[in-house]
Formats: sequence, C-alpha cells, structure tokens
Amino acid sequence: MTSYLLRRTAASLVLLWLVVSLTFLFLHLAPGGVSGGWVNLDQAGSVEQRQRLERVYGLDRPLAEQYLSWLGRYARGDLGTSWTHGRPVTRVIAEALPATLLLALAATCVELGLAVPLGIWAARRRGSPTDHALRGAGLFFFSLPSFWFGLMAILAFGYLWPILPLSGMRSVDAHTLGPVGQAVDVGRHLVLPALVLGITSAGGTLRFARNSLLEVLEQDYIRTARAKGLSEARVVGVHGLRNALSPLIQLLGVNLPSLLNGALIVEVVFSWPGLGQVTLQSILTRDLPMILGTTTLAATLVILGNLTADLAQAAADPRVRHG
Amino acid sequence: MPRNVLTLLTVLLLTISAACGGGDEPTAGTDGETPGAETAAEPRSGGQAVIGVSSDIGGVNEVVTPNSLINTEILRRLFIPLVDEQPDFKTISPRLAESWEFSEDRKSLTFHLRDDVVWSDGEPVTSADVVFSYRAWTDPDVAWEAAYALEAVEAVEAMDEHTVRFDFSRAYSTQLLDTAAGAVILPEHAWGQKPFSEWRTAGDWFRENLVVSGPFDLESWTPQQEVVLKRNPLYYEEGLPYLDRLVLRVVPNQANQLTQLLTGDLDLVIQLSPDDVERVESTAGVRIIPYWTRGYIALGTNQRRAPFGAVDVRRAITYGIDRQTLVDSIWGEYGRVIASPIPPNIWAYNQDVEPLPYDPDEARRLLDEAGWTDSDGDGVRDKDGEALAIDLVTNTGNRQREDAMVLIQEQLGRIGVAVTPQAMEFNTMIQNVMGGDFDAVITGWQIPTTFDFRYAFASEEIDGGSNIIAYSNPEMDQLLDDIRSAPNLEEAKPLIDRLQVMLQRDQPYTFLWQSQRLVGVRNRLQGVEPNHLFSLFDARHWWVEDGAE
Repeated sequence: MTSYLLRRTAASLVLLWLVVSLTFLFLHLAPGGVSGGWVNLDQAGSVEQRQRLERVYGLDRPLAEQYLSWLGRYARGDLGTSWTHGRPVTRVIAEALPATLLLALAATCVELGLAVPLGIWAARRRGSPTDHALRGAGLFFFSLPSFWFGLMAILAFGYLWPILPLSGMRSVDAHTLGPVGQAVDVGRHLVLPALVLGITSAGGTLRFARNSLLEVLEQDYIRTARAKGLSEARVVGVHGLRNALSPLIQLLGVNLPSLLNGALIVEVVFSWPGLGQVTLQSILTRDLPMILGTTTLAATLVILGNLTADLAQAAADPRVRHG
Repeated sequence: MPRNVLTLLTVLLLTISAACGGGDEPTAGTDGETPGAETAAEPRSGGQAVIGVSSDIGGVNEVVTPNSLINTEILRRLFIPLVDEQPDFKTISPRLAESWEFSEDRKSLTFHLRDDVVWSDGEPVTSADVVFSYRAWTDPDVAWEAAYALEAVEAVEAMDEHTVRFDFSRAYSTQLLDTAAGAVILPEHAWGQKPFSEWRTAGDWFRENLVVSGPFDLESWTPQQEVVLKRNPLYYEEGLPYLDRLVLRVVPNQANQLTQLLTGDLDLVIQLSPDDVERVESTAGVRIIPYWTRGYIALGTNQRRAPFGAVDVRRAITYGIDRQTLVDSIWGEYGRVIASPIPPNIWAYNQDVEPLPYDPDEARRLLDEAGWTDSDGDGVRDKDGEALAIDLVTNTGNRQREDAMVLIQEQLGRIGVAVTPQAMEFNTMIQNVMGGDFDAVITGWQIPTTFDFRYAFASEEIDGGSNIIAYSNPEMDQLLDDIRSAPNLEEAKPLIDRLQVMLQRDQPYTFLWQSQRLVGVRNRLQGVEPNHLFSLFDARHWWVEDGAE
C-alpha cells in the first residue's frame, strides 16, 4: 500500500507540474504575449510604458530564465504578487476561497437532498409515469445552462416576487446586525445561488442514484433480504441504499472540479464574491500571477480529488493496489 | 410522458420570462420618493448613498494600480490634485493649489498651496508632498502609466512650505493640465517610508498606512464585495461632503445592477445599456442622466497598403458607409455621427466641419476615377488584377463594433468593395495592428483633453506609436507641433479648427460615432452631475433627501 501511495503521489506531482508549466507557457506564447494588453493606443508613450512594466515585472528576461525562477518560487510555495492588486496571490485567493467553498457545500446539500430521495422514489417506481417524469426532469435540469437558469431565478425572485437578495453575499446594512443576524443575512444571499447550482447538478446525480439503486436491488442479497421477510423500507433503505451510496460518494469526489466549475459561473451571475470573480477579473485584467495562482489551485483540487478517490478505492479493493 | 413534463416545464419557464419582459408597469414609489427628477430643495447633510460598480478597486495608490474606470473614480474622492479640470475641458479650478502663475518665459510654473488642507491624521499637506508625488510619478520602478505627460518637467522645487515650482525644458499649451490635474498628491510622511522599488508589491501596506486629503476616507474594504467611504471630518471645504457614507457595491453582472437600481438596493448605476431605458423610465423614483462621453469609434485603413494610401479611396469608403443608419440601429437616440475626433460636446469643436454625407454615387465616382473598376464583372472592383477587398477587424466582446462590421460589409458591398469582417481577441488584434499587419480596423478612442493628437496622427508615431494606420502628412505634422507649442489652448483654437478641416479632407479614419453613457439614479440621491471626466464627478456635493434624520 505504501509503495502504491508513493507512486500515485509522485505521479500526481508530475501532473501538477505539467499543468502549471503548460499554463505558464501558453500565457507567454499567446499572440501578443503577456504584456500585449498593456498597450493602450489611446495613451501617448504607451509602448515605452509597456517596456517599463516589462522590466519591473521581469518580463524582459529570457523566457527560460523567467520560467526557472518562477518554478523555483512556486516550489517554495511563493505564488507571487498580483499585478493589479499589488498583494500576495495567496492572500487574494485565501480571501475568496471561503465564499466558494460555502457555495459549493450548500449546493452539494441541495444536490444530494434532491437527488437521493427522488432517485430512490424513481427506482422504487421503475417504469411508472413518476419514474419517467423524474428522469425527464433530471435530464432537463442537467441540460439547463446554469447561467440562464440563474438569470431566470433572478427575474423570478428579484423582480416578480422580490423576496430574496439577488447578488453579493451581504446586505448593505449587514454591519449593523448581530452575529445571528449576519449569518441569516448571508444565508438569505446564499439561497438562490445554492439552489441554482444544486438543482443543475442534481439532474445527473438523480439519474445516477436511481440507476445505482436499481442495480443493487437486482442483487442476490436483496432477494435474500426480501426472502427473510424484511420490510420493504428496510430492504431498500438499509441493504439497498448503503451499497448504492458508495458509488455515489465516489461520483461526488470526481465531480468536485465540475462543481467548482459550475460555482464559477453561478458566482458571476449572482455576483458571489468567490474564486470565480477573482479568476474572471484576473483574466480580464491579464494579471498573470493571479491567473497562474487560480489555475494552480484548480489543478491541485482536481488532482487531489482524483488521488483521494484512487487511494480510497485502493484501500477498499486489493486488486487495485497490486494490479 | 417525459416529453409532457418537459413541455410543461418549458412553458412554465417561458411564461416566467415573458412575464418578466412585460413587467414594465410602473411600480408605486416604495420609499415615498418624489417623482420629479430634480427638486430645488436645499442640500442636506447626512445619510448614505449606494453605488453599483462592475469591479473591485485594485488598491488605494493611484500610481501603481491599473488605470481602470473604477479605480480613478474612487481614488479621486480620497485624494485631491493641485487643480481640478472642469468638464468643459477649458476651465481649471483651484483645489490644493489656490493660485498659480507662469514665469515670463513660461518655463516655470509656481503653485501656491492652501494652508488649511490637512491629511486625515492631522498632518498638513505641504509642498514637500508635491515634490514627493512628482518623484513617485516619474520613478522608473513605480512605472506610473501616465508618466509620459511629465517628460518636459526638469525639476520640482519646494520654495517654502506652501509654494512649489515646476521647471520645464520648454513651454507648451498644456503645462498646467499635465502637471496639476493629471494626478493626485500623495502623502510623503505616510508613504515616503516605502522605497519606490517596493511600491508595486505593497498593496496591503498602502492600505494599512492610508491617510487621505479628499472629502472621503476609507471606512472598510471587503475585496470583491464592497468599498465603504466615510466622510473625512478634516476635509478642508466647510460642510462638505454632504453624505456621511458612500458605499460602492461590487455587482459585476449588469442585469443585476439594473434590477437592484429598480428595487432600490442601489442608488446609482454608472452604466446602463440603451436596452434598459424603457424599464428604468417606467419605474417610479428612478431617473436616467445621459451624457456624451469622451470616447468615439473610428474605422482606420492601413495606409501602408496599396489602395488606402490614396485619399480618394479613403473618402470613397467614408461616402460609402451610411453612418447614420449604423448609429440609428446600434444606439438609437443615444449616439451620433461624428466628423472628427473632436465631437460637438467639446469646446474646441469646429462647427464648420460637418460629417461627410452618405453618398454611394460619389463613392463610386471616386473609385472609378482612382482606377478601381469592376473589370471582370464579379461585383468587386479591381485594379491591375487586384481586387478591392478589405479584411476588417475589431476586438471580440464588443457587440456594437461587431454589429457595425456586418452593416459596413453590406454597405460597402453595394459600391463594389468586398469586406470580410473578423472579430479578434484583443491581444492578438493589438499585436497585428501595432505590427502593421491589417487592412482596416475599428477601434475606440478617447479624446485627449490636451488636444495633443501627435500620438495618433504624427508621422513619427508610425513606428511604435499609436499612428497605427501610418497616416503621414508633413502639413499635419507641422500643425500638430504648432498646437502643442501654443502658449495655451485658447490661442491654439484656430489651429485645432484647422486640424479638423484637414482630417475631414484626408479622412485618415472614417470617424464613425460617439455615444452617450447612461447613468441611472434614484431620485432620493440629488446633486449628481456625471460627465465625461467622472461619473462620480463632484460626489462631495451629492446629498440624499432623507439625509438629515
């Protein structure tokens, strides 16, 4: 197991190095280079200004030298300083990360809260109109672009039936509230983005939960359980569900990147102050250290997610680690 | 069965969206606002206003944060410059400097500072701060993006605590604007401890060591969420600002900004789209303030390439583009056709220069005369075996320009010019355009308040400058130099008039349009006078009707 763990960890590190290096390279080799966007035709002396900034940021040095010194700093955990904020990249990310995690967590609760019970319901009524309707709805919400769904939610709850805040994370007067009031305030702001992200993710999960449970329900031990005379609720709820849930949890791990991805889009629609905003702004302002920082974080999360899933599977299944 | 459910859901969603689109009925003023746009009431002190901004500020130090709209808008409320440029581009009013005078040869400019201006920690603002600011503006490590405007300044010297003198290598028309209105004065006692070489990585440090001289101070700043400004009690103008607090909420999504303006969460939105006007106008308690911006859009042809070097071909292109139709279909009443880079809202506009009319017959005649005829009958003009075909580029993500390209393609097609529109990623476009590798490009420009157009039209700016179209005319070069070296802009006016005549004649660009910016304001917020200098212009004079409570 130890050698497997070392092997997989080493492979993950190599993968991470590849991803960030390629990002670095692509950003530098793109037409116009890193500093192309600094040319402001409207400003006299713009070309000289670009050269000044290139010198300040070390972009005038050979690419290989830039890459090596950047990689060295990265290896030591120094992600550099944002060009637009003049602040450490890690600090900008650290400020934005909690909001994204909160949104992702709330959305996962919505997703599971909807998908699992409805999936069970559909599986129990396999082939019935309910089953078809639920699967259809699942497909519909799975196919729904989250930004459009978000805009519709804004129109519905902000304009037609204005009961929920539409954007941001806190009200203007939030600082006047007590701790409980502030938590409630954030909660109210969280409702729409979490619902939109949760519902769009729930579509696929619902179908997965249904199929997974159906597969389990056809197993011999379920027949045995039924033959023992156990109640249907106990057969499905305990014997069936427990086994159907493990692939589902694995799916959640693998889905982590797509959940974060979705969060980025939903964040922009609802002006949620998380990583999505930071990423978008750094791309718009061509803030290279920030772009590299957010890319590295995303790559790390994806690779960690996969690594954890693999290791968990290896722990459970000896065939994997000795394979 | 699933199909039925799908249909049902689709219908439901469509109904919601239709209902929303039609939801234009005036809602009753929820917070008891007066319907009239401007009331003649006396300004009151107190209260707060909430503004929607599309992005966060980059930092509190103007010289090291990229010059985005929001940054400049907000930082100009925290710090004051020596003088204020007024929206007529002509009047310059005192601010930190209460008076100034030139030496006889105009190569020295002396400012007399007010003696009652203090930083928010109580320290006086003195000439030492001005000298320090000049050093920061021009330091190569600070690399301030507008440093070029100070290239003629040779020295800045503090004569006494409240007198400071700028020495120039030569006299020119905008010495005062360049040195005194272009940037704010920075606090030496607070920020002077940081070596200039560390300024670009000291975002947090500047914030922790922030002292201000302007009407507002920074109360709090939650990145990506909001910037809260509070009244600076030590601000020198008695009774100002009126507002206790000015809250800037980061709302990147434009649709959200509009909705929050209509629901009353926001008091002011800096930029509405013309499509939003109907909804805003039909909502009680909200008004729209339109104003002409400094920006304009122009189509430039690469005069390094064969057909476009000829004046007649460029004039034909202008005659062949129905600019009024472009403006009508893209901007409606919020845009207008322009004849030159100096539109009618600018004082130096030459009233005798009208935009060339849409005249396809004249365009055809000019092209025929220039030898571009459709000899092979394929509908596209040609000369010496080469077709009159233009690859027209603009940057992606700008709907108005992309729409314009398609209309222009169709219009020029009618006079036998084949246009291929292409939207390009901004960096790539700049790369191609700066390298001279393009036929024609649609770009946006800002009118320089100094009326120094050398960067765009002077021959010496063809290589490495902004004269991307390689327009070269010795007469123009001389004229541009003359405008620059006139003692002041008033006296340069006849020259600026001639500049417009020459641009009309040569058509180095086909100047397309100028548009208005639409500021949405709730009626409780009064005294708002946005203009092409700043949307938050004069925020120290803003007040709210429910302020004094």
